[in-house]
Amino acid sequence: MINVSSIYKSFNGKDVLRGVDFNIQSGECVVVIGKSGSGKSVLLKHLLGLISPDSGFIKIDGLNLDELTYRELQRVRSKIGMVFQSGALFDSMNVYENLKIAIDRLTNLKQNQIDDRIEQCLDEVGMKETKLLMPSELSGGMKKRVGIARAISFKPDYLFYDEPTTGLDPIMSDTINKLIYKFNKKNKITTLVITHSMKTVFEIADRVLMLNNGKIYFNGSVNDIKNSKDVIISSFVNGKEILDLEYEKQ
Amino acid sequence: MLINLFLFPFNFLNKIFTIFGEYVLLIMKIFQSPREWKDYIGITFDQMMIIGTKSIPIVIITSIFSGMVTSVQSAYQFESWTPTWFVGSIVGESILLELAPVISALVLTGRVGATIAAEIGTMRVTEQIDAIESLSFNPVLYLIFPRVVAGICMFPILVVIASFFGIFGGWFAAIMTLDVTTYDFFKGFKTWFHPFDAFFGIIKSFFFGFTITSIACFQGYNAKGGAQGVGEAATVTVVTSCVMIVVLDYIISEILI
Repeated sequence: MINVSSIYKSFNGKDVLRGVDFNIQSGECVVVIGKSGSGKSVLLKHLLGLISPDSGFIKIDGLNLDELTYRELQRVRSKIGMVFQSGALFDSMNVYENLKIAIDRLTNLKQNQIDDRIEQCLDEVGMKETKLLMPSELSGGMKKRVGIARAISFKPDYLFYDEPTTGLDPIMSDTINKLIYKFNKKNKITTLVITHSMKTVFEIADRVLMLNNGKIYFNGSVNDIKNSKDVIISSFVNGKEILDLEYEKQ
Repeated sequence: MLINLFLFPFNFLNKIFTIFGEYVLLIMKIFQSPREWKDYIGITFDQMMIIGTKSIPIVIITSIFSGMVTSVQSAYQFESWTPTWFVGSIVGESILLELAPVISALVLTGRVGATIAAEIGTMRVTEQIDAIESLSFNPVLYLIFPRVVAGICMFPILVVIASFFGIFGGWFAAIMTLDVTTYDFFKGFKTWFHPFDAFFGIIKSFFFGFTITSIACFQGYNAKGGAQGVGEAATVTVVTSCVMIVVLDYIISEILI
């Protein structure tokens, strides 16, 4: 379970997060949406312990990330699989090595078991044939799928995705959404997705959080957000400027 | 406007000290968890290959020509009023004390320093460092420790190689283009040779190795933005390292000679 309580964060005097509160239950798939610059990625970095909040706290499985030693924090991180926006594959390693380094580090598997796990993970994301390719030889969608394979390779309890469908064609976006849904429902991995894509929200979310001006502006189900009459929410959901929406109403 | 002009030196100094403080803090992080060092020994050997072995050709080429130039120019300066065997002495002392460590360090600033800064900088701007951290690696130990240790270990070896080939270059130029025999060259070389001279260059190279790799790691680690930020990190690394090499060269010479 993840518990985020009243976190504030500012950079160079600019408030990015201004009292963010929410909980994520075990096995839940929560999608965080919000305009560019609303603090979504900063929030995700807080959850990974890469940034500390100015005030407030984040608890993962009851452990306050800010009170942990570096080693304890590393132990918490080993329960989290992170899929970065660009894939963040290590470009000096091929696909096989990118997965192997994660499994080697975070599990006690033997070499033959590691090889089996890599095969299995790449198969799950439909990338079995790319095992020996370098990241520079992969397309954007392929990099993201390998990134997902790396994130699930050590069987984490939590999976975080940073804008998993950004920059992908609609078919590849659909493939990624299906993978996220599969790992959440089949493997019961607690999932947090940061996205701009409402299609992703509608396809995978159990619950939606909307960040606006550094605060949680909306916290509810997919149906609630679809039917919301709030101008800011419906502007984002429909992808229209607030002024355009008001003009349409008139 | 006038106030800004007045404050400029203070702001500049403030910035320099802030950056230096951040540099020291980052490097100190290497020593915070020595128990984890063993996990990164394999990567350190890889870096020794990249920093050391792959730099040997460029070090050999530059040191041979440094020795040849020293030989030719010292013969020109001492022409007609000193014996020719003096060339061997000048080449030997110049190469061992100054040219082998300093020229090698300046060349390696470009070859090694810029590469490290660009590599780590690219990893920073493409979120690879965040990925390293998310996989429970300590990014300082994963990225900085192996490179700095490899620099400290391999630079002295490169300087020994540079010294050998520098003297070889000086001897080659002396016998081929000057009126100096092999016997005269090595007679001059031995006349003012002290064993400490050979160690002096090696001592310098420890400091140069640490300085170049640590500055490069610091700049790369703190790179911001995209390609421009990476380019800036590489440029600042080369400029800062070159300045630091000549400053350290003077300080170490003052202390040890």
